[in-house]
Amino acid sequence: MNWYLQSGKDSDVAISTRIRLARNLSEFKFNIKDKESVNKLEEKIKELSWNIGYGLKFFKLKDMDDITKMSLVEKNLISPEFALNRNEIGSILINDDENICIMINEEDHLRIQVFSSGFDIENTLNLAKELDTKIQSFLNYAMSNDYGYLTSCPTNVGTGLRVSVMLHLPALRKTKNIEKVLDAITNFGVNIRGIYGENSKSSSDMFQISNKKTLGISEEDIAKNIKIITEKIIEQERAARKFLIKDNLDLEDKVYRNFGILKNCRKISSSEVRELLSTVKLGTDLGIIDEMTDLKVLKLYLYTKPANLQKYLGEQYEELERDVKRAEVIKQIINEK
Amino acid sequence: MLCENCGKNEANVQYTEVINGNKKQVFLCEECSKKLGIDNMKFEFPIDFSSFFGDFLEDFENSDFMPTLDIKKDIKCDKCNMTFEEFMNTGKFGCDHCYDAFKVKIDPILKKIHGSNRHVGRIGNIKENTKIFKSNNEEKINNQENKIQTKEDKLEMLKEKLKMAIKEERYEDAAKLRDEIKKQEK
Repeated sequence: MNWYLQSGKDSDVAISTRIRLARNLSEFKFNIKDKESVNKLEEKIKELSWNIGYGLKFFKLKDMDDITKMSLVEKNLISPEFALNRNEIGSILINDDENICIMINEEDHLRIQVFSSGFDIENTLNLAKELDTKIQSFLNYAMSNDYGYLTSCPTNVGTGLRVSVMLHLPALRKTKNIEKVLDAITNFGVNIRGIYGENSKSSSDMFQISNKKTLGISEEDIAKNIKIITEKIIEQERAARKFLIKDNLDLEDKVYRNFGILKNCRKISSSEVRELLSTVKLGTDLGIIDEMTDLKVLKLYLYTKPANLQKYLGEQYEELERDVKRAEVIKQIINEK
Repeated sequence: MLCENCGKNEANVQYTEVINGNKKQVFLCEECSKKLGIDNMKFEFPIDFSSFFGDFLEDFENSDFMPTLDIKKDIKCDKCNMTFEEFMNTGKFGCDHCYDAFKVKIDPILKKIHGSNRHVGRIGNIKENTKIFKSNNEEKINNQENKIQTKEDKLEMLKEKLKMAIKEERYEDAAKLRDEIKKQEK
Protein backbone atom coordinates (compact mmCIF):
# COMPACT_ATOMS: atom_id res chain seq x y z
CA MET A 1 0.00 0.00 0.00
CA ASN A 2 1.26 3.48 -0.81
CA TRP A 3 2.46 5.67 2.03
CA TYR A 4 -0.48 8.05 1.74
CA LEU A 5 -2.93 5.26 2.57
CA GLN A 6 -0.97 4.16 5.62
CA SER A 7 -1.24 5.38 9.18
CA GLY A 8 2.10 6.41 10.62
CA LYS A 9 3.34 7.53 13.99
CA ASP A 10 1.10 10.16 15.65
CA SER A 11 -1.15 10.10 12.62
CA ASP A 12 -4.16 11.15 14.68
CA VAL A 13 -2.68 14.65 14.29
CA ALA A 14 0.31 14.44 11.94
CA ILE A 15 -0.87 13.31 8.52
CA SER A 16 2.43 13.18 6.67
CA THR A 17 6.07 14.23 6.64
CA ARG A 18 7.94 15.54 3.63
CA ILE A 19 11.64 16.23 3.13
CA ARG A 20 12.74 18.31 0.18
CA LEU A 21 16.28 19.00 -1.02
CA ALA A 22 16.90 21.65 -3.67
CA ARG A 23 19.88 20.83 -5.89
CA ASN A 24 21.42 22.24 -9.05
CA LEU A 25 24.02 20.96 -11.46
CA SER A 26 27.01 23.20 -11.98
CA GLU A 27 27.21 22.60 -15.73
CA PHE A 28 23.83 24.22 -16.43
CA LYS A 29 22.54 27.70 -15.81
CA PHE A 30 19.72 27.89 -13.28
CA ASN A 31 16.13 27.75 -14.38
CA ILE A 32 16.83 26.51 -17.89
CA LYS A 33 14.14 27.01 -20.51
CA ASP A 34 15.89 26.59 -23.86
CA LYS A 35 15.15 23.27 -25.56
CA GLU A 36 18.75 22.22 -26.00
CA SER A 37 19.73 22.52 -22.34
CA VAL A 38 16.43 21.02 -21.19
CA ASN A 39 16.99 17.99 -23.41
CA LYS A 40 20.54 17.62 -22.21
CA LEU A 41 19.47 17.73 -18.57
CA GLU A 42 16.63 15.28 -19.18
CA GLU A 43 18.86 12.82 -21.02
CA LYS A 44 21.40 12.99 -18.24
CA ILE A 45 18.85 12.26 -15.53
CA LYS A 46 17.09 9.60 -17.57
CA GLU A 47 20.34 7.71 -18.14
CA LEU A 48 21.13 7.91 -14.48
CA SER A 49 17.78 6.67 -13.23
CA TRP A 50 18.96 3.03 -13.40
CA ASN A 51 22.15 3.85 -11.54
CA ILE A 52 20.33 5.75 -8.83
CA GLY A 53 18.09 2.77 -8.14
CA TYR A 54 15.18 2.88 -5.65
CA GLY A 55 12.90 1.79 -8.50
CA LEU A 56 12.81 5.32 -9.84
CA LYS A 57 11.29 5.80 -13.26
CA PHE A 58 11.59 8.79 -15.51
CA PHE A 59 8.56 10.60 -16.98
CA LYS A 60 8.26 13.83 -18.92
CA LEU A 61 5.37 16.04 -17.84
CA LYS A 62 4.29 16.61 -21.43
CA ASP A 63 3.94 12.86 -21.97
CA MET A 64 1.51 12.51 -19.09
CA ASP A 65 -2.22 13.21 -19.37
CA ASP A 66 -3.76 16.04 -17.36
CA ILE A 67 -5.62 13.83 -14.93
CA THR A 68 -2.45 11.93 -14.02
CA LYS A 69 -0.59 15.17 -13.48
CA MET A 70 -3.38 16.63 -11.36
CA SER A 71 -3.62 13.42 -9.34
CA LEU A 72 0.06 13.88 -8.45
CA VAL A 73 -0.63 17.49 -7.45
CA GLU A 74 -3.53 16.35 -5.26
CA LYS A 75 -1.24 13.89 -3.50
CA ASN A 76 1.19 16.78 -2.94
CA LEU A 77 3.87 14.90 -4.88
CA ILE A 78 4.46 17.75 -7.32
CA SER A 79 3.71 21.45 -7.03
CA PRO A 80 0.75 22.90 -8.96
CA GLU A 81 3.08 25.54 -10.38
CA PHE A 82 5.32 22.79 -11.77
CA ALA A 83 2.43 20.85 -13.32
CA LEU A 84 0.82 23.89 -14.90
CA ASN A 85 3.65 26.17 -15.94
CA ARG A 86 6.51 23.81 -16.59
CA ASN A 87 4.72 21.28 -18.72
CA GLU A 88 7.12 21.64 -21.62
CA ILE A 89 10.35 21.58 -19.64
CA GLY A 90 9.63 19.57 -16.51
CA SER A 91 9.98 15.88 -15.79
CA ILE A 92 9.91 13.61 -12.76
CA LEU A 93 11.61 10.57 -11.30
CA ILE A 94 9.14 8.58 -9.25
CA ASN A 95 8.98 5.08 -7.73
CA ASP A 96 5.97 2.76 -7.51
CA ASP A 97 5.47 3.44 -3.81
CA GLU A 98 5.43 7.14 -4.64
CA ASN A 99 7.37 7.92 -1.48
CA ILE A 100 10.17 9.31 -3.63
CA CYS A 101 9.44 11.93 -6.24
CA ILE A 102 12.15 14.07 -7.78
CA MET A 103 10.98 17.10 -9.74
CA ILE A 104 13.37 17.88 -12.57
CA ASN A 105 13.65 21.43 -13.82
CA GLU A 106 11.30 22.95 -11.28
CA GLU A 107 12.71 26.16 -9.85
CA ASP A 108 15.91 24.20 -9.29
CA HIS A 109 17.31 21.46 -11.52
CA LEU A 110 16.45 18.83 -8.95
CA ARG A 111 13.94 18.92 -6.15
CA ILE A 112 14.49 15.67 -4.30
CA GLN A 113 11.43 14.81 -2.24
CA VAL A 114 10.84 11.95 0.16
CA PHE A 115 7.49 11.39 1.86
CA SER A 116 6.21 9.34 4.71
CA SER A 117 2.91 8.94 6.51
CA GLY A 118 2.56 10.29 10.03
CA PHE A 119 5.27 12.11 11.94
CA ASP A 120 8.63 10.64 11.00
CA ILE A 121 11.26 13.26 10.30
CA GLU A 122 14.34 11.14 11.12
CA ASN A 123 13.75 8.23 8.76
CA THR A 124 12.46 10.43 5.98
CA LEU A 125 15.46 12.72 6.24
CA ASN A 126 17.84 9.77 6.31
CA LEU A 127 16.38 8.34 3.14
CA ALA A 128 16.60 11.76 1.46
CA LYS A 129 20.25 12.12 2.48
CA GLU A 130 21.04 8.62 1.24
CA LEU A 131 19.38 9.36 -2.08
CA ASP A 132 21.14 12.71 -2.32
CA THR A 133 24.55 11.15 -1.66
CA LYS A 134 23.87 8.57 -4.36
CA ILE A 135 22.90 11.21 -6.91
CA GLN A 136 25.85 13.35 -5.94
CA SER A 137 28.20 10.49 -6.76
CA PHE A 138 27.10 10.76 -10.39
CA LEU A 139 26.58 14.47 -10.86
CA ASN A 140 28.42 17.69 -10.14
CA TYR A 141 26.25 19.73 -7.83
CA ALA A 142 26.53 23.50 -7.79
CA MET A 143 27.96 24.35 -4.42
CA SER A 144 30.38 26.54 -2.58
CA ASN A 145 32.24 26.34 0.71
CA ASP A 146 30.60 29.51 1.95
CA TYR A 147 27.03 29.02 0.81
CA GLY A 148 26.66 25.26 0.64
CA TYR A 149 24.25 23.99 -2.03
CA LEU A 150 23.50 26.81 -4.44
CA THR A 151 19.90 27.37 -5.46
CA SER A 152 18.05 29.57 -7.88
CA CYS A 153 16.32 31.47 -5.09
CA PRO A 154 18.37 32.78 -2.14
CA THR A 155 15.70 31.59 0.27
CA ASN A 156 16.72 27.96 -0.31
CA VAL A 157 20.50 28.24 -0.38
CA GLY A 158 22.72 26.39 2.10
CA THR A 159 21.20 23.05 2.99
CA GLY A 160 18.47 23.41 0.36
CA LEU A 161 16.40 21.53 2.92
CA ARG A 162 12.73 22.03 3.62
CA VAL A 163 11.17 19.82 6.27
CA SER A 164 7.37 19.91 6.31
CA VAL A 165 4.77 18.17 8.39
CA MET A 166 1.09 18.18 7.50
CA LEU A 167 -1.09 18.55 10.58
CA HIS A 168 -4.80 18.01 11.23
CA LEU A 169 -5.86 20.47 13.93
CA PRO A 170 -9.67 20.41 14.17
CA ALA A 171 -9.88 20.65 17.95
CA LEU A 172 -7.59 23.68 18.16
CA ARG A 173 -9.81 25.35 15.59
CA LYS A 174 -13.08 24.33 17.19
CA THR A 175 -11.92 25.63 20.56
CA LYS A 176 -10.67 28.82 18.86
CA ASN A 177 -7.13 28.31 20.10
CA ILE A 178 -5.51 27.93 16.73
CA GLU A 179 -4.55 31.61 16.40
CA LYS A 180 -2.75 31.52 19.72
CA VAL A 181 -0.77 28.48 18.71
CA LEU A 182 0.07 29.90 15.30
CA ASP A 183 1.22 33.20 16.81
CA ALA A 184 3.40 31.46 19.33
CA ILE A 185 5.22 29.23 16.90
CA THR A 186 5.99 31.80 14.21
CA ASN A 187 8.55 33.16 16.65
CA PHE A 188 10.57 29.99 16.24
CA GLY A 189 11.64 30.35 12.63
CA VAL A 190 8.91 28.17 11.15
CA ASN A 191 6.26 28.78 8.56
CA ILE A 192 2.76 27.53 9.06
CA ARG A 193 0.07 27.77 6.47
CA GLY A 194 -3.43 26.52 6.04
CA ILE A 195 -3.89 23.99 3.31
CA TYR A 196 -6.84 24.54 0.94
CA GLY A 197 -9.22 27.44 0.74
CA GLU A 198 -7.20 30.13 2.45
CA ASN A 199 -9.47 32.75 0.96
CA SER A 200 -12.84 31.08 1.16
CA LYS A 201 -14.97 30.79 4.25
CA SER A 202 -14.53 27.04 4.29
CA SER A 203 -10.94 27.12 5.44
CA SER A 204 -9.83 23.69 6.46
CA ASP A 205 -8.33 22.09 9.53
CA MET A 206 -5.17 21.09 7.67
CA PHE A 207 -1.99 23.02 8.29
CA GLN A 208 1.50 22.61 6.99
CA ILE A 209 4.47 23.51 9.12
CA SER A 210 7.95 23.94 7.66
CA ASN A 211 11.32 25.54 8.37
CA LYS A 212 12.09 29.06 7.17
CA LYS A 213 15.87 29.12 7.29
CA THR A 214 18.11 26.95 5.15
CA LEU A 215 21.47 28.66 5.56
CA GLY A 216 23.73 28.83 8.60
CA ILE A 217 21.88 25.97 10.28
CA SER A 218 22.67 22.28 9.89
CA GLU A 219 20.23 19.69 8.55
CA GLU A 220 20.08 18.09 11.98
CA ASP A 221 19.19 21.36 13.69
CA ILE A 222 16.52 22.17 11.11
CA ALA A 223 15.00 18.74 11.65
CA LYS A 224 15.24 19.08 15.42
CA ASN A 225 13.50 22.47 15.43
CA ILE A 226 10.59 21.24 13.37
CA LYS A 227 10.39 18.10 15.46
CA ILE A 228 10.19 19.97 18.76
CA ILE A 229 7.65 22.49 17.51
CA THR A 230 5.51 19.80 15.90
CA GLU A 231 5.54 17.80 19.13
CA LYS A 232 4.32 20.87 20.99
CA ILE A 233 1.48 21.43 18.53
CA ILE A 234 0.48 17.75 18.68
CA GLU A 235 0.40 18.03 22.46
CA GLN A 236 -1.82 21.14 22.28
CA GLU A 237 -4.18 19.56 19.76
CA ARG A 238 -4.57 16.45 21.91
CA ALA A 239 -5.27 18.61 24.96
CA ALA A 240 -7.96 20.47 23.01
CA ARG A 241 -9.47 17.13 21.95
CA LYS A 242 -9.64 16.02 25.57
CA PHE A 243 -11.50 19.21 26.33
CA LEU A 244 -13.95 18.65 23.46
CA ILE A 245 -14.67 15.07 24.44
CA LYS A 246 -15.85 16.22 27.88
CA ASP A 247 -19.06 17.24 26.19
CA ASN A 248 -19.27 13.88 24.53
CA LEU A 249 -22.85 14.03 23.32
CA ASP A 250 -22.31 17.30 21.50
CA LEU A 251 -19.19 16.05 19.73
CA GLU A 252 -20.69 12.64 18.94
CA ASP A 253 -23.71 14.37 17.46
CA LYS A 254 -21.52 16.54 15.24
CA VAL A 255 -19.44 13.58 14.07
CA TYR A 256 -22.49 11.48 13.20
CA ARG A 257 -24.28 14.36 11.47
CA ASN A 258 -21.27 14.88 9.20
CA PHE A 259 -20.98 11.15 8.66
CA GLY A 260 -24.66 11.00 7.84
CA ILE A 261 -24.33 13.52 5.04
CA LEU A 262 -21.27 11.78 3.61
CA LYS A 263 -23.00 8.41 3.66
CA ASN A 264 -26.37 9.48 2.36
CA CYS A 265 -25.76 12.33 -0.04
CA ARG A 266 -26.53 11.82 -3.71
CA LYS A 267 -24.11 14.43 -5.00
CA ILE A 268 -21.31 16.30 -3.30
CA SER A 269 -18.40 18.62 -4.11
CA SER A 270 -14.83 17.85 -3.09
CA SER A 271 -14.61 20.88 -0.81
CA GLU A 272 -17.74 19.81 1.08
CA VAL A 273 -16.27 16.34 1.52
CA ARG A 274 -13.11 17.88 2.96
CA GLU A 275 -15.10 19.89 5.46
CA LEU A 276 -17.31 17.02 6.61
CA LEU A 277 -14.49 14.53 6.63
CA SER A 278 -12.39 16.62 8.99
CA THR A 279 -14.89 16.13 11.81
CA VAL A 280 -15.42 12.48 10.87
CA LYS A 281 -11.65 11.95 11.07
CA LEU A 282 -11.63 13.59 14.47
CA GLY A 283 -14.40 11.21 15.56
CA THR A 284 -12.48 8.24 14.17
CA ASP A 285 -9.26 9.24 15.93
CA LEU A 286 -11.14 9.65 19.21
CA GLY A 287 -12.93 6.33 18.77
CA ILE A 288 -16.43 7.85 18.79
CA ILE A 289 -17.50 6.36 15.49
CA ASP A 290 -17.50 2.62 14.90
CA GLU A 291 -18.35 2.66 11.21
CA MET A 292 -15.04 4.18 10.18
CA THR A 293 -11.40 3.09 10.14
CA ASP A 294 -8.19 5.05 9.55
CA LEU A 295 -7.82 3.48 6.13
CA LYS A 296 -11.35 4.45 5.10
CA VAL A 297 -10.74 8.04 6.19
CA LEU A 298 -7.52 8.22 4.15
CA LYS A 299 -9.21 6.65 1.14
CA LEU A 300 -12.06 9.13 1.36
CA TYR A 301 -9.64 12.06 1.53
CA LEU A 302 -7.76 10.85 -1.53
CA TYR A 303 -10.39 9.40 -3.83
CA THR A 304 -12.83 12.29 -3.50
CA LYS A 305 -10.37 14.79 -4.97
CA PRO A 306 -11.32 15.53 -8.57
CA ALA A 307 -8.41 13.91 -10.42
CA ASN A 308 -7.99 10.97 -8.07
CA LEU A 309 -11.72 10.28 -8.22
CA GLN A 310 -11.41 9.86 -11.97
CA LYS A 311 -8.26 7.76 -11.54
CA TYR A 312 -10.14 5.55 -9.06
CA LEU A 313 -13.06 5.10 -11.44
CA GLY A 314 -10.77 4.80 -14.44
CA GLU A 315 -12.93 7.14 -16.47
CA GLN A 316 -13.26 10.84 -17.20
CA TYR A 317 -16.30 12.78 -15.97
CA GLU A 318 -17.60 16.34 -16.20
CA GLU A 319 -17.82 18.37 -13.02
CA LEU A 320 -21.53 17.72 -12.35
CA GLU A 321 -21.23 14.02 -13.10
CA ARG A 322 -18.25 13.91 -10.80
CA ASP A 323 -20.32 15.17 -7.86
CA VAL A 324 -22.74 12.28 -8.37
CA LYS A 325 -19.95 9.72 -8.84
CA ARG A 326 -18.19 11.10 -5.78
CA ALA A 327 -21.22 10.38 -3.62
CA GLU A 328 -21.28 6.81 -4.96
CA VAL A 329 -17.58 6.28 -4.29
CA ILE A 330 -17.95 7.56 -0.73
CA LYS A 331 -20.73 5.07 -0.05
CA GLN A 332 -18.66 2.30 -1.57
CA ILE A 333 -15.63 3.09 0.60
CA ILE A 334 -17.69 3.45 3.79
CA ASN A 335 -19.34 0.08 3.15
CA GLU A 336 -16.05 -1.73 2.46
CA LYS A 337 -15.56 -4.67 4.76
CA MET B 1 -24.83 37.56 0.33
CA LEU B 2 -26.25 35.72 -2.65
CA CYS B 3 -24.69 35.62 -6.08
CA GLU B 4 -25.82 38.58 -8.18
CA ASN B 5 -25.90 36.49 -11.32
CA CYS B 6 -27.91 33.39 -10.37
CA GLY B 7 -29.29 34.59 -7.04
CA LYS B 8 -29.12 31.05 -5.70
CA ASN B 9 -25.69 30.38 -4.26
CA GLU B 10 -23.64 32.16 -1.66
CA ALA B 11 -21.38 34.72 -3.34
CA ASN B 12 -17.72 34.22 -2.62
CA VAL B 13 -16.06 35.93 -5.54
CA GLN B 14 -15.85 39.68 -5.66
CA TYR B 15 -15.21 40.96 -9.16
CA THR B 16 -14.24 44.58 -9.68
CA GLU B 17 -13.90 46.14 -13.08
CA VAL B 18 -12.63 49.66 -13.65
CA ILE B 19 -13.20 51.08 -17.12
CA ASN B 20 -12.37 54.73 -17.76
CA GLY B 21 -12.56 55.43 -14.08
CA ASN B 22 -16.01 53.87 -13.68
CA LYS B 23 -15.91 51.25 -11.04
CA LYS B 24 -18.25 48.29 -11.35
CA GLN B 25 -18.45 45.67 -8.69
CA VAL B 26 -20.31 42.37 -8.67
CA PHE B 27 -20.51 39.54 -6.20
CA LEU B 28 -20.67 36.08 -7.73
CA CYS B 29 -20.75 32.50 -6.63
CA GLU B 30 -17.95 30.20 -7.68
CA GLU B 31 -19.99 28.51 -10.39
CA CYS B 32 -21.11 31.73 -12.05
CA SER B 33 -17.63 33.17 -11.90
CA LYS B 34 -16.45 30.06 -13.70
CA LYS B 35 -19.19 30.40 -16.31
CA LEU B 36 -18.27 34.02 -16.85
CA GLY B 37 -14.65 33.05 -17.22
CA ILE B 38 -13.29 35.09 -14.37
CA ASP B 39 -12.31 32.23 -12.17
CA ASN B 40 -8.94 31.77 -13.76
CA MET B 41 -7.47 34.70 -11.90
CA LYS B 42 -6.01 32.41 -9.27
CA PHE B 43 -7.41 34.15 -6.23
CA GLU B 44 -5.72 31.75 -3.92
CA PHE B 45 -2.33 32.01 -5.53
CA PRO B 46 0.35 32.82 -3.00
CA ILE B 47 2.24 36.07 -3.37
CA ASP B 48 4.92 35.68 -5.96
CA PHE B 49 8.08 35.90 -4.00
CA SER B 50 10.25 37.25 -6.77
CA SER B 51 8.43 40.55 -7.30
CA PHE B 52 8.22 41.11 -3.61
CA PHE B 53 11.85 40.21 -3.29
CA GLY B 54 13.06 43.01 -5.53
CA ASP B 55 11.10 45.55 -3.50
CA PHE B 56 12.49 44.14 -0.34
CA LEU B 57 16.04 44.45 -1.63
CA GLU B 58 15.56 47.98 -2.82
CA ASP B 59 14.14 49.00 0.50
CA PHE B 60 16.99 47.29 2.14
CA GLU B 61 19.54 49.15 0.09
CA ASN B 62 17.81 52.48 0.58
CA SER B 63 17.40 52.09 4.29
CA ASP B 64 21.14 52.03 4.66
CA PHE B 65 22.03 54.66 7.16
CA MET B 66 24.63 56.08 4.83
CA PRO B 67 22.56 56.39 1.68
CA THR B 68 25.07 58.64 -0.08
CA LEU B 69 27.39 55.70 -0.34
CA ASP B 70 25.14 53.81 -2.70
CA ILE B 71 27.10 51.92 -5.29
CA LYS B 72 26.01 52.93 -8.72
CA LYS B 73 28.08 50.56 -10.79
CA ASP B 74 26.29 47.32 -11.55
CA ILE B 75 28.08 44.08 -10.94
CA LYS B 76 27.78 41.40 -13.60
CA CYS B 77 28.19 37.65 -13.43
CA ASP B 78 30.76 36.62 -16.03
CA LYS B 79 29.34 33.11 -16.44
CA CYS B 80 25.71 33.83 -17.26
CA ASN B 81 25.87 37.61 -17.81
CA MET B 82 23.21 38.36 -15.25
CA THR B 83 23.57 41.79 -13.66
CA PHE B 84 22.88 42.44 -10.02
CA GLU B 85 20.00 44.65 -11.03
CA GLU B 86 18.43 41.78 -12.96
CA PHE B 87 18.78 39.58 -9.92
CA MET B 88 17.05 42.24 -7.84
CA ASN B 89 14.15 42.32 -10.25
CA THR B 90 13.60 38.59 -10.45
CA GLY B 91 14.85 37.45 -7.07
CA LYS B 92 16.43 34.46 -8.79
CA PHE B 93 20.06 33.84 -9.59
CA GLY B 94 21.10 33.02 -13.15
CA CYS B 95 23.71 30.37 -12.39
CA ASP B 96 25.91 29.03 -9.61
CA HIS B 97 28.61 31.59 -10.28
CA CYS B 98 26.26 34.50 -9.50
CA TYR B 99 26.74 33.77 -5.80
CA ASP B 100 30.41 34.48 -6.22
CA ALA B 101 29.97 37.45 -8.50
CA PHE B 102 27.45 39.21 -6.25
CA LYS B 103 29.06 38.11 -3.04
CA VAL B 104 29.66 41.55 -1.57
CA LYS B 105 26.06 42.49 -2.13
CA ILE B 106 24.29 39.29 -1.21
CA ASP B 107 26.05 38.57 2.07
CA PRO B 108 24.01 41.13 3.99
CA ILE B 109 20.84 40.04 2.18
CA LEU B 110 21.38 36.40 3.07
CA LYS B 111 21.98 37.44 6.64
CA LYS B 112 18.66 39.22 6.61
CA ILE B 113 16.82 36.19 5.22
CA HIS B 114 18.51 33.40 7.14
CA GLY B 115 20.12 35.19 10.07
CA SER B 116 23.44 33.93 8.77
CA ASN B 117 25.39 33.97 5.54
CA ARG B 118 27.61 30.94 5.90
CA HIS B 119 26.72 27.31 5.35
CA VAL B 120 27.23 24.94 8.26
CA GLY B 121 25.40 21.82 7.09
CA ARG B 122 26.61 18.81 5.20
CA ILE B 123 28.33 19.08 1.89
CA GLY B 124 28.09 15.39 0.97
CA ASN B 125 30.62 13.21 -0.75
CA ILE B 126 31.93 15.46 -3.40
CA LYS B 127 32.64 13.93 -6.76
CA GLU B 128 36.33 14.22 -7.43
CA ASN B 129 36.27 16.62 -10.30
CA THR B 130 33.61 18.84 -8.79
CA LYS B 131 34.82 22.35 -8.75
CA ILE B 132 34.06 24.08 -5.52
CA PHE B 133 34.91 27.65 -6.03
CA LYS B 134 36.81 29.31 -3.27
CA SER B 135 35.35 32.66 -2.74
CA ASN B 136 37.37 34.50 -0.24
CA ASN B 137 35.97 37.93 -0.27
CA GLU B 138 38.84 39.87 1.17
CA GLU B 139 41.20 38.18 -1.23
CA LYS B 140 39.04 39.11 -4.15
CA ILE B 141 38.76 42.71 -3.14
CA ASN B 142 42.48 42.84 -2.59
CA ASN B 143 43.09 41.40 -6.01
CA GLN B 144 40.81 43.97 -7.46
CA GLU B 145 42.71 46.61 -5.57
CA ASN B 146 45.86 45.78 -7.44
CA LYS B 147 44.15 46.15 -10.74
CA ILE B 148 42.45 49.38 -9.89
CA GLN B 149 43.83 52.28 -11.85
CA THR B 150 41.54 55.22 -11.54
CA LYS B 151 40.84 57.13 -8.38
CA GLU B 152 37.14 56.78 -8.99
CA ASP B 153 37.30 52.99 -8.98
CA LYS B 154 39.28 52.99 -5.82
CA LEU B 155 36.72 55.20 -4.13
CA GLU B 156 33.95 52.93 -5.28
CA MET B 157 35.70 49.95 -3.82
CA LEU B 158 36.37 51.64 -0.52
CA LYS B 159 32.71 52.51 -0.23
CA GLU B 160 31.80 48.90 -0.90
CA LYS B 161 34.22 47.81 1.79
CA LEU B 162 32.76 50.34 4.18
CA LYS B 163 29.29 49.07 3.53
CA MET B 164 30.40 45.54 4.29
CA ALA B 165 32.12 46.67 7.47
CA ILE B 166 28.95 48.40 8.66
CA LYS B 167 26.79 45.42 7.86
CA GLU B 168 29.16 43.12 9.67
CA GLU B 169 29.31 45.55 12.57
CA ARG B 170 33.07 46.02 12.33
CA TYR B 171 32.87 49.67 13.33
CA GLU B 172 36.57 50.20 13.90
CA ASP B 173 37.31 49.11 10.35
CA ALA B 174 34.42 51.26 9.20
CA ALA B 175 35.88 54.34 10.84
CA LYS B 176 39.26 53.75 9.19
CA LEU B 177 37.61 53.26 5.83
CA ARG B 178 35.51 56.38 6.29
CA ASP B 179 38.67 58.41 6.96
CA GLU B 180 40.32 56.98 3.90
CA ILE B 181 37.32 57.79 1.75
CA LYS B 182 37.42 61.36 3.01
CA LYS B 183 41.11 61.55 2.14
CA GLN B 184 40.48 60.19 -1.35
CA GLU B 185 37.62 62.54 -2.02
CA LYS B 186 39.72 65.61 -1.36
